[in-house]
Amino acid sequence: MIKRSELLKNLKVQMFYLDPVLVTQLAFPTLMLTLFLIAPIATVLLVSLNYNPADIFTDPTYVNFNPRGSPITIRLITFRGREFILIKISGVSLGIIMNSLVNSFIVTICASILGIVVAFVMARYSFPGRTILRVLAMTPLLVTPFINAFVIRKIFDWRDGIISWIIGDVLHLPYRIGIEDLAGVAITQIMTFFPIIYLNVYSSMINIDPSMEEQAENLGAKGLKLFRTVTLPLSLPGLAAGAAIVFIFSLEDVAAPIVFNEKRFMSYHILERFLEATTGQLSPVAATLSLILLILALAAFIGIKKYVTLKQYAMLSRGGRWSPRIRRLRLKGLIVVYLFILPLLLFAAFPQIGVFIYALAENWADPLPYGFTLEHMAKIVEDPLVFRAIVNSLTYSILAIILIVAIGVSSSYVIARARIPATDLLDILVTSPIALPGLVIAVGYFYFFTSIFRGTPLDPITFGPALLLSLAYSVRRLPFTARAVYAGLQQVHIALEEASLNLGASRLKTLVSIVIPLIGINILSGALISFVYCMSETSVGITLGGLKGVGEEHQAPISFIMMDYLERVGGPHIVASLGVLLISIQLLVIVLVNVVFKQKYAYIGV
Amino acid sequence: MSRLGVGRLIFLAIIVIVLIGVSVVFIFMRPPPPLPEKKPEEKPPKVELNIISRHPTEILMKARELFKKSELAKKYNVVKINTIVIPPGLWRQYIEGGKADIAWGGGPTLFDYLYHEGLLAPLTSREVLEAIAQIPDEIAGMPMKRVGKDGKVYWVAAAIASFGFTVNHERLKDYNLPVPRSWRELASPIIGRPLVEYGEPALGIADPTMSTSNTRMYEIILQRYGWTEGWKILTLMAANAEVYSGSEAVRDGVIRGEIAVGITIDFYGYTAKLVNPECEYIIPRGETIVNGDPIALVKGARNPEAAQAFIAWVLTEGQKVWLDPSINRMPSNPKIFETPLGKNRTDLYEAYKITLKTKGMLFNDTLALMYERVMQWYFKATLVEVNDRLKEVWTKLLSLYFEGKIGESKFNEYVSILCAPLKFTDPLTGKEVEFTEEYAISICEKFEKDPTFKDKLISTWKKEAIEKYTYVLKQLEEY
Repeated sequence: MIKRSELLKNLKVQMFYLDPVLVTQLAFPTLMLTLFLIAPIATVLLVSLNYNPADIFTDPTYVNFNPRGSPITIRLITFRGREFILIKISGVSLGIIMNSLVNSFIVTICASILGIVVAFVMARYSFPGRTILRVLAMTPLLVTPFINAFVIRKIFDWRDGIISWIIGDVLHLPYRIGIEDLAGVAITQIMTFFPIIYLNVYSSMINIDPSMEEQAENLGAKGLKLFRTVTLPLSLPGLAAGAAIVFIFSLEDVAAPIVFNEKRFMSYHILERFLEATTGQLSPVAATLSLILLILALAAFIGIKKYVTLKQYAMLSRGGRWSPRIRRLRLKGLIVVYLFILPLLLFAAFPQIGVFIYALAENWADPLPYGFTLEHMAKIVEDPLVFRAIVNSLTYSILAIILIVAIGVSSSYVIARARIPATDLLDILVTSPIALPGLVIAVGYFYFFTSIFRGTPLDPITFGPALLLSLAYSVRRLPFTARAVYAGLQQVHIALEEASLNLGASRLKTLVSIVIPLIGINILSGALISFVYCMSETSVGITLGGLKGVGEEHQAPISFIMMDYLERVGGPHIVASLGVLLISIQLLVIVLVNVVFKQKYAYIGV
Repeated sequence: MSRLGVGRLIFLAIIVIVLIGVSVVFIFMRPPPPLPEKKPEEKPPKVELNIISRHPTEILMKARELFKKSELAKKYNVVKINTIVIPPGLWRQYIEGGKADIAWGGGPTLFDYLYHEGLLAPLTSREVLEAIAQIPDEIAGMPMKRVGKDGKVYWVAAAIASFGFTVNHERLKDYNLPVPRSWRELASPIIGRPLVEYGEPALGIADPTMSTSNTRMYEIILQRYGWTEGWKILTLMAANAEVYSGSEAVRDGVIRGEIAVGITIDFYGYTAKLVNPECEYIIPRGETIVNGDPIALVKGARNPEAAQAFIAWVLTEGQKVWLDPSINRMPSNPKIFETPLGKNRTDLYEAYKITLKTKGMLFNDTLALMYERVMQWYFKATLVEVNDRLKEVWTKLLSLYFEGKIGESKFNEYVSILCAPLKFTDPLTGKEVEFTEEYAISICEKFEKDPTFKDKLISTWKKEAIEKYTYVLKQLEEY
């Protein structure tokens, strides 16, 4: 039993922390996240009660354990007067829910294998061209909604795709290869997401105490055994976090299913139902599917919670505290790197390179592009709809960043400094958006703000989605800034603040004059990373973003216009030009954060 | 003459000259007499027009750019035009909220709905009535104007369009397929052959819940062939097809050669031809209708005079918007082909003449509207969402048929089972019903207003469709 004096002592300690500034710093993020995260998601839960989940689980289009289609078909065909062996990889369908789940597993496993191999090579060996390989490995992380998937589809089309053209028409081999449907989506996601695993595993590997591996070597372990029994197990935190994030990203991705016209995914289904909602109704099925998506994503998040919450992240993010065990590659290793890893990374980076080709080529209907023009690039300024989308995205992102900095600094400070029980909950609340599918947030916002806030500026149908988009961005991209700020706070000794407080400065004065100037660079870096991800945000942008239609005064962000223009004649070139713009912004921020500010934050993951 | 006399004379001369000079100066330098007072010309107040539309933004932006240069824009001092492309479901809200002056594009079904709901205002200004007089009352038997009971015009066609399909000749050749000429041919085993040979559908269609033009084509087929036969054709078309999310995606599919044939509205076909000369638009003879794509003044418009001036402009001078090579639509006012610009577009004029001569069919717009929503979702539930299963059984059936393992009569027997309208338990009454036209009409209102009922029905249809396809597949596995 706790003694009365202890209780009083505890209360006194709590009261010390609960000064008006800290209370405000606790209340503000809590209120914002309750209103703009918890409440909309709770509404999804409420609406889904209108639909009997049994109807979904007994519907074979949603769950079906009897696979439809063949994963791979090989047939002899006559095409353009020649005989070919057509190899088509399409995948099998197990129903919408199972497809999403199985696809995410396959993507996570394949991306993990790829990511681990690349991370291991980069973390443990030195060889000529290592920097180039590192850049190539990071390239797929440059977010270019829709258009990178569009390029991947172009690579794998069996009729006029680049691979079939090289094999069949250049090398004159009697083969044509196509990857489409479910398999097309999977390959796109593997190529896009594997660097997330690479980055996280790499970060874990360079943090492994070298003495661990040395001891194992002294005990006789080497090669694969050393990797299997020491290196890989010690890299598991990075792998787990990266894999969970890839799993969630794959689950909620809509771009690849749209481009491959593959409707048998939960994300596509929710999107379709959402677009239909503009007729005034949003079917309860959308809510039920959103809920399933949410549960799956949350399950993955809980699995990695201890790696991604602020308190844990700060420990992992420093990176490279040891002098790394890097060896020179011998001939055999060099052959493997140059013959397998380099082509693989080049191939994975090709979609991003293809985005540039699409933007700058006059035409790319045939396997090879034709002509050079800057006209498509100029269109992003000349076309008022596209230009407005850029201005919109910039405006929403800047507004979101102001909120993100306010919420991020407040919440991180409370979590770092106040020793009160509520901080753990706030920590989860602040970091959870990294795992919450944007589609679920969009569906939740639609239900919540069109019903409870009907007729107010928050109602996206009456006033357009501008305000809601800024708010949704501020919630979704909050973890990036919160993490950077928290990491900064960890490096500022509390004694500096205590000294200030002891000398009579108020908490607010201490915060403004001591803490913020000391972590200014962290705030700036975090805000810039959040900004980049706001600019390229997709799920909320393509759903809520279209609610005010498309006109000169539209409120849609870049991602919505990219989706809209993808289906216009000549549109993909403009979409690619927007992709180039996004890539440029991302590169600028990476350089600023890493080279100028010398901050080392993992982009995605731990 | 005395010296004094001479001097006086000189003095007088000087005075005369000075007087004359002063007079001249006075005459020329004096301010002009005041002109009879003329009132400065009164410029009307600055006007901002709001247009809600289903047209692509290219059309709206081109129209705005050209209209701003027009005399009518100056006359009514129209300084700004806002165009908003929004889904039809939001139109009522925009009109009732006073956020729109003009509604433009989206097909006659939508405009008739607006008219019946009292959301349109009659066109009455002199300019617009003169412009309306230049538009034919009917083309290929379809009305180009909606005249109300009061004798006033409520909407008028600003463009016309027919429905058919766009083919990609290169891909047809690749797949060794003939050029189809009718809807029935799109549902034929021949168009299904690439499914068997390449595992690839040759046809492209769009999900009717996402495309009003494809919805109209399905309605045309249902009325041309009758309910039961119509559903047979629709089922086999879906079995032969890649189902896209929208009509633009179908057009792009044909242009890129993902499919060999795509069902499209005419101007998508003309655009496809300009982008890829291998493409051609085909009008199925006697199996299409020519729709007028309306423009109208909405009820409660804030600037009705200026809005009507804009409508008048669209119907006359503004018809040139359709001739733009990036737009390629058929004007409703043939006089535009008499202008220098119109004379340059001989291709469109030829297409226009063909459209005028189009042997259309009788089409009941009101009937189509009575079952539209239910038809769209029945199509989606039974042909789109379970398309993989439909395709699997159809491909199997075709393989057996092409291999000669089943004969014509057996083939037709299985096709009849596959395509028969579903029988299912109505979630409302608990009774077994068949999906007939009457049934579709009877539930349409509840279906639109009750999302839970709608979801229940969709789920039932999907299950029944799967059961039917599985049954046929099992039968075929015995061969």
